[in-house]
Amino acid sequence: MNKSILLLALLLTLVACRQTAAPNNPNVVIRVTPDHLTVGITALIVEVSDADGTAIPDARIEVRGDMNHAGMQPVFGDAQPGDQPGEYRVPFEWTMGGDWIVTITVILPDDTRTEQSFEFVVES
Amino acid sequence: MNAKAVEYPDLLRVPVLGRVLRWKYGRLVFQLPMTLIALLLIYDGFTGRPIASQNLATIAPWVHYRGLIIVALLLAGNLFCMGCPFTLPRTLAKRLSLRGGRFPRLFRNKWLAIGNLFFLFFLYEWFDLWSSPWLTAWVIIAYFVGAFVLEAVFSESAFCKYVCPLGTFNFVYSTVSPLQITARDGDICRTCVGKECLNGSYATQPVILIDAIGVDGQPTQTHTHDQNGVLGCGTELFVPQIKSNLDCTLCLDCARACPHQNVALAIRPPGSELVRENAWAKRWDLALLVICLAFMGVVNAFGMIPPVYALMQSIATSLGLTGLGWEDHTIEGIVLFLVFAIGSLALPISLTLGAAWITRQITRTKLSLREIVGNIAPAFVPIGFGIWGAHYGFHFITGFFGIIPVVHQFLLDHGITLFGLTPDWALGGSPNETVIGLVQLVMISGGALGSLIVLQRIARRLYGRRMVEGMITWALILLALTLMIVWIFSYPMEMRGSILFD
Repeated sequence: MNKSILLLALLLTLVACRQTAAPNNPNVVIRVTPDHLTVGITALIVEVSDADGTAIPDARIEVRGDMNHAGMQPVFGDAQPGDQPGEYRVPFEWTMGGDWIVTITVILPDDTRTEQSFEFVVES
Repeated sequence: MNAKAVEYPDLLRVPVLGRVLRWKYGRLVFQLPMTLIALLLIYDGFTGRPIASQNLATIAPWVHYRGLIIVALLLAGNLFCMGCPFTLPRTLAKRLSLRGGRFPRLFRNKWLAIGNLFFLFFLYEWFDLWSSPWLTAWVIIAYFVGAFVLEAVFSESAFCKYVCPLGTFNFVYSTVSPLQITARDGDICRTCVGKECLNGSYATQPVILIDAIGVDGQPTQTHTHDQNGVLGCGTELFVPQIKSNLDCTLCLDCARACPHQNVALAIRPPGSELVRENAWAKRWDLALLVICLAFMGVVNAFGMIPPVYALMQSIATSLGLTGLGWEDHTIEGIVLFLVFAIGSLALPISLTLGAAWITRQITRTKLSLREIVGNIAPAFVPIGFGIWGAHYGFHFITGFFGIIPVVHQFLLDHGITLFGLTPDWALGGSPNETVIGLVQLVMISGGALGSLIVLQRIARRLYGRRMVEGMITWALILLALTLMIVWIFSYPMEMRGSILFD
């Protein structure tokens, strides 16, 4: 049962993770590898593109994960360039099971900042 | 510890501290900071960052308040009711009041409090109050409004005594605390004219009360009630009759009102009232409150571990709820309600009645079921305290320093850069499993052991040579509670609010 909930959560997460960009804001898509959301080290793949869908290769990405329960230490991730243009790889550790809110801050070359949040359910 | 000269050290006689506590505005010293904090939480809840771990409205009440309550109850007493911000407008409410009647007789008991605790815990879980600064701010406002309205409408402090779930929790577990209000000298109370500890010394017009009359028929000792006086005990406790911390908010109005300086805040052996005969009224509502609250602690902790999701899915499937096309949140509400109703009300009440019936059969005593349950109920206080302490301790230890970067961020968001530009989020601290495990072990084993000791002493008092028969059924329930909570804490905690049904 837990696995089916997890699978469903992951599917919903992937669907929900594409956020519509405002005219000047970049599109941010987030993927997780491996796709099994359990406590431990994982990698977040963040794809950034502009409103036309063109990849933005030279953005700075800041990643912060918070549990939705107060009082838990946030997790920060450092983004590195990924395999494709506009793709960034962020080593990330889910330190605890539960609901997580991952906030991605994209800083464009012109110093424009935009922030988007994504929710994940992680199993212990 | 009642109606005799006080045997234990009296904090009200300690230099400086005693004077501050007895000062007319002594409670205000505690209430004002708490009120400012409450207002700050409301403000940040509505205007601050929406993520719970970055907002004061969620971290302060759900992590620090609950942890500090346990520490305060264990080391001192009901300090949080003493500093309660919700009752700060009490005097104003009383002056604006309709001078109305008593709280309805039907509700002058703990049934309403049991219901309120149940709904608070249920709603906390269903609406994930711990993850919503906005909802938490509304909860705080609801407390302010509820306390003010009930103070204004009814003559006694009905909110504190019959309604407030936080206060009810504090009342029950302050019975383990080392501080208790008592009379210094019972003889003084017997001859007291005004019974100010109960009735207060406040009067709109000056009133002179005569305490003693000389041989010439003239008053030799008087005292005055006037607008400088204070209200009497809001929860209607008469100091020389106090044998328990139940219903005592530790407001110390009794001490301020007493014209004879005869009220003591005495240090006593922690939990001593639990084994004292007649310390507690033998009432169904009171006994079931204590027993249900211990089970609520188990259910509340159960809501944090993975098996609860499997159970909820199984209940939803067996009831056919998943095929109705309802939203997951609606199904979650129904299933959670069932889990909470069964685990924290139906199960403890049926176990209690069953255990009382069995005890009566095997001990062959003439005690009624109510008398048996009323006598045994205090044995559920230590284990309940241990269960709640282990759970709240987890959050408290985990997030203890986490409030520092949250405050820092709050200041930065308001343009205050006094402490630098970068909050140190690493202070949030990740769970130190060894420390947490140790604290939980101490709380649970201490609670279980304490409960067994209390049970043994109560059973010896009630059943004499049949002590073992008198306590065996209850000991098994306590053991089951202990094993249940150990099993729960053996799982990794999950901070999970959402559940997606298949």
